[in-house]
This record gives sequence, C-alpha cells and structure tokens, in this order.
Amino acid sequence: MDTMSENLLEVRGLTLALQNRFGLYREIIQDVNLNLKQGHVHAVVGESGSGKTMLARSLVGLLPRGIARVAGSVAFDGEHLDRFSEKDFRHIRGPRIGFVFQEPMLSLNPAITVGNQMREGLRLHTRLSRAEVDETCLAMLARVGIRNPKGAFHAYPSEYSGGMRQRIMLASVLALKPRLLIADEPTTALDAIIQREVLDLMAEMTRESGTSVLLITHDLGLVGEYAQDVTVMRHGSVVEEGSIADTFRRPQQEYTRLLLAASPKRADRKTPAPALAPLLSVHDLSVTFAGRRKWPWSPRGVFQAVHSVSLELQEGENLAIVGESGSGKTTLGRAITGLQSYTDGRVMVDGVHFDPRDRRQWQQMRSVMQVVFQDPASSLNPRFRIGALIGEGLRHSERCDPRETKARVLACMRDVGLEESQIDKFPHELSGGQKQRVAIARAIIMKPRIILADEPVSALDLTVQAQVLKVMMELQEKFGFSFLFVSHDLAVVERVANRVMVMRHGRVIEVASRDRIFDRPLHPYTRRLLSASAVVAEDGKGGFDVAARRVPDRPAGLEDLPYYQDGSAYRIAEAEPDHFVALAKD
Amino acid sequence: MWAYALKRIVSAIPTMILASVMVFGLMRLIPGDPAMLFIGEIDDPAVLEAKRRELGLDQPLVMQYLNWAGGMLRGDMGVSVQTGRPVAGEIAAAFPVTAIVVVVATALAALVAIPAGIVAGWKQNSKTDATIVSIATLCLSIPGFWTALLLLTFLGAKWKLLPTVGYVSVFDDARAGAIYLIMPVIALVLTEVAVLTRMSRASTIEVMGLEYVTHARAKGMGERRVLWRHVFPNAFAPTLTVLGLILGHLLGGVVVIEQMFSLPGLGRLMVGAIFARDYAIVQGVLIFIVVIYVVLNTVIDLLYPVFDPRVKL
Repeated sequence: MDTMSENLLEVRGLTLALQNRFGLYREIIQDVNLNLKQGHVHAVVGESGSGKTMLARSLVGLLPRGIARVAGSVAFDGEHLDRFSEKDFRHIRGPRIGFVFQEPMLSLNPAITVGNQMREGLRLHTRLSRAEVDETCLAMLARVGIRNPKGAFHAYPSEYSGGMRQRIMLASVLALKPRLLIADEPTTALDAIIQREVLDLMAEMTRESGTSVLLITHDLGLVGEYAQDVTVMRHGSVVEEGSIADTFRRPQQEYTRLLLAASPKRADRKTPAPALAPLLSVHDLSVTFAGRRKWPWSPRGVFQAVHSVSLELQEGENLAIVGESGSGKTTLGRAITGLQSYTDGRVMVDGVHFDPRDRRQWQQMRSVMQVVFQDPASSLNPRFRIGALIGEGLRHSERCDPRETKARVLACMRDVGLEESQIDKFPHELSGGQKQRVAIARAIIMKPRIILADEPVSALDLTVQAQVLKVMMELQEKFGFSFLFVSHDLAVVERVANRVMVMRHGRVIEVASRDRIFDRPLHPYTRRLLSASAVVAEDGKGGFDVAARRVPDRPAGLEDLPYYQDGSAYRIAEAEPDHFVALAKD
Repeated sequence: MWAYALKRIVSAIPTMILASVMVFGLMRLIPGDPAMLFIGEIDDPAVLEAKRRELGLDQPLVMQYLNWAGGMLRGDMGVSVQTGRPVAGEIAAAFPVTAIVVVVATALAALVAIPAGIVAGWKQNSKTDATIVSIATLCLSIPGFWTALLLLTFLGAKWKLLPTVGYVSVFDDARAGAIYLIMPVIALVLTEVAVLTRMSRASTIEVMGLEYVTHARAKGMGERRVLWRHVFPNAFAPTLTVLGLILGHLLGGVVVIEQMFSLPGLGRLMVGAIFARDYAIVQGVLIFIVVIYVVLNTVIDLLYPVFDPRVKL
C-alpha cells in the first residue's frame, strides 16, 4: 500500500533541541512520529510543556531562535520538508500550509487594516489581479460571517471582538486554500459559545476545501468532537497515537487515562442545611463605570457592569457565579469583597452591613473574606519569599510573634500540600499549580469564612487543575468556609458548586441548585451555554466517551415562559421552588 | 480626537502661567540691578532712580510681573536693555540659527538611530547587535561639550578641515552654511543618537516577539517585508515619544554648544543677557522655549493615532 497517498503529513523520529552558543543542548521533543491522514482532523493533545506547539512550528520552519531540528524527517504531500531552506519554506507557508494562532488579539497586526492583512497572502502567492484579490477577500469575509465585509476591509483589528478576529484570521488563512491547516489552540482564548461557533466554522470550511487540519489543543472535549485522530504528547514525547474512538474508548497508556480522568465531573456534594440567616447576603448591588466624554462639556457615558444583583450565601456553601467574559461576574465578586466600589446596594455579612469605605470595618473584613485570584503568576509578588507571602496577612491584622507566624505558615503549607522546604523559595521557582496552592494558603491562613475564588484553576493544566480543586474541597471540609466561585468553566462548576448563578451582561439570568441548572435549565441562554460545552465521561467499560452536553427538555409548564432577552424589561422570578430565572417584565 | 486636542490646548494655559511665574521669579533672584549695570560708572542716586523708573523697576514685583505678562499677551515682549531693540526682534533673529541646528540634529538622530536600533533588535544577540549597542553606549558616555572640544581641537585647530569660529546662514549660502553646521550638530547629536538607538532596539525586540510577526512569517512573507510592514510601524510609536523629548532636550543642550562654537543662536543670546541682567531678553527667550516645548509635545501626542490605530484620543 502506498502510504503517501493516504498520509498528507508524516513525521518520523523528529527531535528538536534548544542549543546554546557552546553547542550544548537540551531536547525539547524527542523521537516524535505522527501520521496525518488526507482530509482528516488530527489533534495533538498535551499539557503545557509537552512540546506540542514546537512540533507544530517546526513543520513550517518557524521555530524560535535557538531551537533546531537535530534528528528525524518530515514529509508533507510527498516532499521532504527537512531539506527545505528558509526560502523554500516561504513558498509552503500560506498556499500549502496555513497557520492559525491562539490569540486572535495578538496575531493580527494592530497597525494594518484587515483588508491589507488579508491581501498580503494572496498577493504573495497568487497571480490574481488587484481587483480579483479584493473580491476573494470580501467573499471570504462574507463566508466567515462578518456582517459588513466592505466595512471590515477598511477597519483595524482592534475594532473587532476576539471571536470576530479569529473568524477574520480563518478567512485570511483559508483564502489561499491550503492543503493543511495548523491550528494552534485556535479557540482557547474565546468564550464557550463563540468557541463552538468558530470551530464549527473551521470544520465546515476545511471540509469544503478538502483541507486537512492539525489541531493543537489541551482541551479533550474539543478533540473528541472535532478530530478523527489524536496524538497524546507529554514532556516532548508521543504517549499514544490513534483514532479517537480507539484512544478514548481503550486508552493504552496510563497517562492518556489520567488525562481523560482529570476532566472535572459532577461529584456528590452535600448541601449545607440552610441556617436562619445567611452568612452573606447582597441586596441590589450595582456597579457602573464612567465612560469617555466626547467633549469636555458633554455628559459622561456610563457603562453598567452589574445591574442590581442580589444573592445569598450560606455557611459552608459553594455558590458558583458563571458567565462569559463581560458578564460582570468578576466585577460582582470584587464589589462584594470591597475591592471595587459600587454605586448602589448593600452587602451584609452575618446580618451586619459591611461598608468598604469604613477603614476599620475594611480591616476586620479581611479576616472574614479572602480572595484567590486567577493568575498566580501575577498575583504573587515576585520579590517575596513563599513564607512571607503566606504570612503577610497575619502581620497586618493580628499581632503574631515571628515564631507563631512561622508555625501557622508551615501548618497552612502542609494543608495545601506544599513541602516545608519550599518556605524560602521565590514564586518563580514553583510550578503553576504550586503557586496557586500558595495563593490558597495565603487566603486560608486568615481563617476566613468566605473565600472569593476568581477563576482559580483556569490558568492550570487539566491534571494540575484536578489536584488543586481537590485540595480546595478538602480544605473546605476541614475549615468549613464558604466559596464564592467565579468561573466560565462549566465542568469545574459542576464539580464544585452547590448552587449556580448564571450571569450575562451584568444581569442574573438564572439561579438554582447545581443539579437544577445542569439537569433542567430553563433560560435559553443557560441552555445555550450548556450545549456549547463538552463532557468527558467514563463509559463504565474502562474507557471514556466525549460528547457535547445533552441539554434536557424543559419540564412541562415551563416551556413558554416569557424569558428575558436583550432589550426587554427585566425581572427575576421564582419559576419553581428555589429556581429563579430572568423573565421579561409584562 | 478634536475634543482631546482642545483639552490639551486648554490644559497648556496653566502650564504657561506657572512657567512664566517661575521664569520671572528666578530672574529676580539673581543678584544685581540692571539699572546699575545700565548707567555704568555714573555714581548719582538721582540718575539711578530715574533709570529704575524708566525700566519700571521701582514698582512692586507683582505689578512688574503683570506688566510684563500683559505685554506678552499683546505680543509686546519688551525691549532689550542692552541694545534697546525689541525682544521679539532679537529672538526672531537668533531662533533660525538654533532651529536649524536642532532640526538637523534631530533628523540626523532619527535617520541614524531608528534603523540602527531596528537592525540591532532584529539581529538580537548577534555580532551586529553587540557592535551597535557598544557604539551607542560609548556615545552615551561622552558629554557633548567634550565631543565639541575634541572636534574643535582636531578638525578645527590641528587639521584645519573646518572653521572653528563664525556662522553663515544656510539660507544665504547653503554650502558654507552646511560647513559651519557640521561640528555643532555632531557634538549635539551623539548622545541623543545613543538614547534613540537603545529605545528603538528595545521596542523592535518587543514587537519581534509578538504573534502577528510570526503570523506574517507563516503567511510566507520574506524577512525584509516582515520587518518593514509589520515590525517597523509598531516599533516606531514608542520611539516617537522619545523623539519629542529629544527635541526639547536638544533645545536645552544647544545653549552650551552655541557658546563653544560661537553660533549667534538663542542660547548665546540668553547667556549674554544673563550676564548683562537683561531681564526682558532672558524672560522672553525662556518663555519662547517653553512655548515651543509645549507645542511640540502636544503635536506629538496628537500624532499617536496616526501610527497606532488602537490609540483613541
């Protein structure tokens, strides 16, 4: 059998290494083999540091300076790319292999109009006339769903949202009808619903033009749904390669199994018995931001980030606030903890009004409410040692002598699963997961009753994420605090929450217990959000199944409620006991 | 954009008032009485008093300030005590000399430094980069007046390649004018070239690391086009700010250089006036420089959106 007719891309024994000027080198990827079948979508999955991006870049000769191929061969469409010079590669890049990057915010040049950036490729690689080039570009923009292609042509990338930019990117890359599209985490930076739209578009367009896709990703849900084959990578080596069906149903390697099992799943959570008074209650909280003035004398526009939101949090409960970017979920969390001033509303803790402008109250609140931020790399001061970072809160609020402080720091480090020897390390010496453990230790050392966790695991790899979530839940068991859990990741929310509050454009869309939200969502937006996410589930036979989440039908009698839509008047109503949903005001 | 321009222009008013008060106040702090210098050896209190009254020095300081500031607003900058000619005329005569030196120096700095910085950034950590950075560091560490002395000693006095004293306007005789400009411009520009090179190198390195540059390469573009179309425009925007600061800096630095090369520019006019306690000239020149500085920086801020469409003023 002639393999070349079947495989568009064959990688054999590829080894890349980082070389310094003395010629010493460290291998980045070792002995990688990969077969991409004609017309298939082939996924390369791995956690950060697995070498998947370097593998992709080496295929088109775009390795960063200092990294070079030391062994192996790459055959693409019957040609041996490894003998290619920079000049040869230039003819391959674009017309034969297209490349889509992760961050549409960064991969379009902000100083050049969309039209001019799209023209570049066609001008370089085709003999079309100016008018034909423009025509092709406009047709492609229309194809990817840009509403006003002519307008977009003369606009700058900054005028578009992330999802739109990624569509523009697809239009510009696929305009050349490449044989292979390499998509490096193409939708990781996008919200769930938009991610789904962009991927559907990509799948559809590549199918039309017969383009094969090499999809680089860390998201197993995506892989299961969009790819036919998968290569699992770890620490620069291939762990397993095969069709999706084989690899997911019957994973041969322990690591593949580990990766699949690391996807958060619904766990039994006991719901704390509702006390007479909630631990935290928020009444009609609104946050507005002042906009820009057009003229010095014209009135300032206002942007309302949070529209009169109310919520209650019981002792020991996990309330997840879910929404896409721009939903106001983070602003709400910050306003509750007093980190963001609000224009209207009240925050009550234990029945006492908490006014963040009162310095004394603010100080006292720090031992009641603590925060864990999303990105541990930037929330930990790089000049502080771990011990000082964790113990800092104690210095400011309670008078602790150094011995006692150290004892408490060490106790907290043990609680979050850090080694005692790490107390004198700096944050940059720790891994992402360890850093987030430090951030958690820093919060719990104050013995808070409420922890605001703002996307605490979304910067972490799947396996690390599972460990950190486990630690968080164990700590909660031990200390009994409540979580306000802000997240866009439904799988994580399903794992940790007791109750879920869905937000959109600063408004509450739906609030109910976790099982209600996931098993009988009412509002169309909640339902859309759920159907955009994929679930990795064990199939009971030692393997795994990946499928889009099935959203159950609404219960009888609740199908035709006048659900709130953008622009209609808003009210929130109890559709069934303890299940609140946004409706249009009659 | 227009609202921002208006705001900037309006906000320049308090700056100007503050600057004028400081200029006026500082002059009064310098010991010495201009009337005394003016009448010279005549030792007669009555004559001195009359001269003081004539120059308005007998009035309280506040009145003196208001008179002066009021005159400025009407376009009357006063009269030089030394020459008796209007200050405005003296400035108008001296400014073109300074302007030519500064503009030529800035243009030269931009033409040399920006490409050098881009090449160094593009070939980061190569021999070319190391050479460019070393030269820049060397230039940065030599003070302008020292360069001026070296130039005068060798090119001027020893080898007699260039004239050491005198000035011919380029508007009168382009060739002769240019010859007189060579040494002052070099002495003035070396430090600024170094600053600008390092700035342009740093922003090039930053832009080179961005994904849209990799994307441009992934489209199959040649390295030169990537550099010209995708790197240069984005690396230039921060360099523009530095260019504005350099223009202002040069206006200050030129004072020393004009002394050394005896160019009849603003700097020499002002230094002479300080020694002669010629208040009107010193104040006039300083205010003039402040105005130029403010205008230049406003213009540069307004130019930002031209180079970076993300900037919305």
